[in-house]
Amino acid sequence: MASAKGGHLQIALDAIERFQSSETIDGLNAAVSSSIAAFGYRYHCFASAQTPQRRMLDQRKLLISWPQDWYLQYGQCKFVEHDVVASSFRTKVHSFRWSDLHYQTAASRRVMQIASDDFSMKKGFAVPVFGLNGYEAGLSVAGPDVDDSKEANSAVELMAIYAFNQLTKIKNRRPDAASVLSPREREIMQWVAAGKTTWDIGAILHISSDTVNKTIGSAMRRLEVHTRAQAVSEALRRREIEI
Amino acid sequence: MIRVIDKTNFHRFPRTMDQLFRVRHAVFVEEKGWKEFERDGIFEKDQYDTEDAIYVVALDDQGDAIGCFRLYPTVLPHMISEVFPNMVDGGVLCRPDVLELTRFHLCKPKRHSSEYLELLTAIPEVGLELGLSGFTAIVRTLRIPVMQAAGLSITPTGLPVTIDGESHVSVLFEVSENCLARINKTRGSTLSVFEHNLPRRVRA
Repeated sequence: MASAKGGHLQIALDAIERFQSSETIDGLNAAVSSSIAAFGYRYHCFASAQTPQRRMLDQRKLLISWPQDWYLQYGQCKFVEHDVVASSFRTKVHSFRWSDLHYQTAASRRVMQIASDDFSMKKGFAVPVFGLNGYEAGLSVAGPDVDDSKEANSAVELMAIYAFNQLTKIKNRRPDAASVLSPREREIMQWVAAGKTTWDIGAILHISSDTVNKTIGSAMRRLEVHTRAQAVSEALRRREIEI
Repeated sequence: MIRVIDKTNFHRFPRTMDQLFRVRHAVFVEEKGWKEFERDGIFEKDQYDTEDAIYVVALDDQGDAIGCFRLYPTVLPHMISEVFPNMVDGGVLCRPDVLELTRFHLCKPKRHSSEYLELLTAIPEVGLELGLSGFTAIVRTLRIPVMQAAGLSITPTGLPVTIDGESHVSVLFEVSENCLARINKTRGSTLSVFEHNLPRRVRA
């Protein structure tokens, strides 16, 4: 994947332009995929920082294009606990190649081996993004045969930064429709989205399970859905609640 | 509070001028280790600290300098054109409505404060006041998201390169009313960050 130096910058600038015209998260995700493909990267994962409340990838993923089987295995086998790339984002304070890291445990080496042998993630590069509150998110890109020259890596750094910027803009856009849920309905749906049962929510808010169920029922009617899962989904989509 | 000092008014602020070069010494020579800029152990100055420079100085509640950034004409030989031209793709920008922005800093205790946002706000405010279209600068690549989160619009003008172990990139800061509006929204105020009684600026 040889490119002239001027070519690397132009690839980055073209990518930035594509990101800035993406209006949806799905559109931005596709733009990231096509942009990193210029350097041979096939997969990407942009995830927010790990916190004590959010460790698993499915709670933190922002923009992702991973083989389905790898994603499932990563979650089921809790690879995040042995993934040196994931844990290095916060400590590295600059971009790094996967090959720059030290894999000290057998488990961490095994994770990388599976990624490489089973899913063609032979080479990877990672860019941490620091915002106003410190480390916020990290982009990891991988592929079988990539251009990981200094120039290509610099271009990917820029791509990570501008993709994150656009993602923030998309998420901050307020929906046109006014809120349909009452504050109480929104509050209870927030707990439902967090995985709490009716009984839990009643205990947390000091109200009866009956009241919880009735409130969820009225939320479902206002959101025009038939199940709690749909209610969570719809409430998230309308930005009534966030996770 | 922000004070803008140039050749038309520097004689009014001798204390600020003295303080700003001391703070620069503390930040760039002592803290960042830029030993090549050590001259007298007191002030940090280089060949672009001339009467053509404009200093946008952040002052604390007591009126003492806690940081600043420097602006310099791109139509004169400047840092990017003389020291880092290789970082800019397609030729260094030299225009009367574009100034080079260098030495952006705040002293350590003030880096995560409202004064940081004020100094960032000064970028589009000064730009609009002076009738500029933008500022060129070399910045640490991984600082860009922080500045974007505040509301600044930044365009890379070259690929990042590693300088002293850190990724740096040449950029153009946009100057616009929208940019100022976004930063004001971030800091929750539409008041000017400049001190009152600012003398009328001569347009660049």
